[in-house]
Amino acid sequence: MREIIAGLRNDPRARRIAVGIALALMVAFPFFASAYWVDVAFYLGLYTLLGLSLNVILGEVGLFNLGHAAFWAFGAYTTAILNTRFDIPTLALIPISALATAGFAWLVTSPIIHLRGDYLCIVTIALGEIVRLALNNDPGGITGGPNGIFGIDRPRIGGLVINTPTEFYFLVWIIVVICAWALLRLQNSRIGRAWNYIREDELAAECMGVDVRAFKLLAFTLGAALAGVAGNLYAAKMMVVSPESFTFMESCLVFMIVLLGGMGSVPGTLLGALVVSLFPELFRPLARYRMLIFGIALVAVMYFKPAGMWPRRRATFRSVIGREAGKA
Amino acid sequence: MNDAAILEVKGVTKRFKGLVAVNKFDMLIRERTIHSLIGPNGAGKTTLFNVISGIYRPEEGKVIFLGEDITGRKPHVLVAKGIARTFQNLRIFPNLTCLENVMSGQHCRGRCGTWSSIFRTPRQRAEERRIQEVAERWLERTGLWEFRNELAKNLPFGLRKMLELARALATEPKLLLLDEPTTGLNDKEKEDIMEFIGGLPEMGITVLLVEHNMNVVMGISERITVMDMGEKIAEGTPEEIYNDPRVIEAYLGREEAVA
Repeated sequence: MREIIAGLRNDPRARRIAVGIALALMVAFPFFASAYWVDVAFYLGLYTLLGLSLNVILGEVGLFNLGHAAFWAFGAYTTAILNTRFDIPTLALIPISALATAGFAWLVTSPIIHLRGDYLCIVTIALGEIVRLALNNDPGGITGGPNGIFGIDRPRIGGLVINTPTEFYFLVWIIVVICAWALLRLQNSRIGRAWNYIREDELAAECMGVDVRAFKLLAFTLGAALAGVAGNLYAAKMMVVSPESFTFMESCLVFMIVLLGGMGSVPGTLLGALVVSLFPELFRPLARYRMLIFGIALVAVMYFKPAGMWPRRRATFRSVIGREAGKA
Repeated sequence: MNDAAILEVKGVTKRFKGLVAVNKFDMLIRERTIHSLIGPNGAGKTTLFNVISGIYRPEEGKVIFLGEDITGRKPHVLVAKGIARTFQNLRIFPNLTCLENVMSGQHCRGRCGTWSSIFRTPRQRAEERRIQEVAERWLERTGLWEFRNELAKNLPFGLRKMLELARALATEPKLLLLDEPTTGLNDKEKEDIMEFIGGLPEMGITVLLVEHNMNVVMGISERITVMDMGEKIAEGTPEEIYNDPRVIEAYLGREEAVA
């Protein structure tokens, strides 16, 4: 097994085949599984998207953001309000929710972006709570208070209304795959490397010419934009949004997805989301101890595999100047 | 020999809550030379260094780089202008490969943003290629070629020191600030790294070398500035410094007394 995995890692063709098989299984899945499990797979996709969005902030740049539910809520409420008040179709609201959430993130994180480690963590917890309480207090009568907003339209493409679990399954996973592809490309670029330099050593990154402030803000806005997309999908699926969906616990779960999976690892995030969203389904009788078990799992992973269950492997570059190793 | 000044420090004062770390300091560095700044521990060398590289903003005085006032500019801006540095206690990126470490130097020479990176536009590919090429050349020159895909934290200390130097050089600097490049190295490694540094002026790079060990800089420097208690106490050629009674008193004398 170990050899097979090692072989897959080193051979780009084998890797492409493995990804192809995985994608084929994903396409086939809803035609074999029951509606219940297809629904579970939808939420898995949603949490994967949330995990990927936090991974940009927490995993790539190392910014401890424990208020990610704020961005998710902002996207969901943007969709809910614009759809119910102005009848803008929910699908068209995907980019609008993304942009609005990105703008919101830029506005609220600009003043706190210089904070480090635990300090940033505390401020983002506060951010998450402020957003939830504000939604609860119904500012200007637009968020509907504790009851939230209902009557959000289903997404439609032409004549097709996305309604069944299978249709929602495909909608969310198409978006997840596109986002994962884009994020993998970003990882191996000037942008992704700059993020990693900051995570590794902020002062050294600044002294190597990385505009630390700008790149941290970029990570926050990009991560928030993806969380806004997740919010849109959530609102469209539930047809109702209310403040109680966006608690501190949700921020913690998403945080855990990234830590369990592996900071800055795209496949790790998928694995983390799998653990976090499948566990409650498989062990229903243990529901009361869910948080306890998650806590133990987190401690165990941090102790035995501090880099996460599926850590990111650094890319080996093919040489540009074309020297053989050791002959320099 | 080129006489043009690359860096001028004019009356720089830096205080930390009443403690004057650097006091009305003047210094002039000429292009394509190796200029050393020496002084006993706690003399204020690293503080001055941090003022020049933009980490600290001085309370008084100016730093002029190639005729431009750069006082208080942020480090990443200064790197783009051509000032690179290393750190006294080694700050590489431990979990990245050596190649990725050195590629960080080229970050400031790149322009491509998020969208071009996602869609891999032709411009972006060309830029990535150039970034990698410059990094590879410096890995080759510093003898780190065979370790290029190795994680930086797995290198022995001496090579990590060399990696940090390669990373700074990959920014294509005009002025290179080196903070105690030989600390923690054995004699052979010291010799190697000093020989390498000695070759930099020929490549058009000016070096400001900070050391507390006087012997290291004697053979290599064109000019030496001696600092003690935040003030300049002497400046001149190595011979002048070696025979200066103030230097012997403030610096060598104290060290001999300890030894």
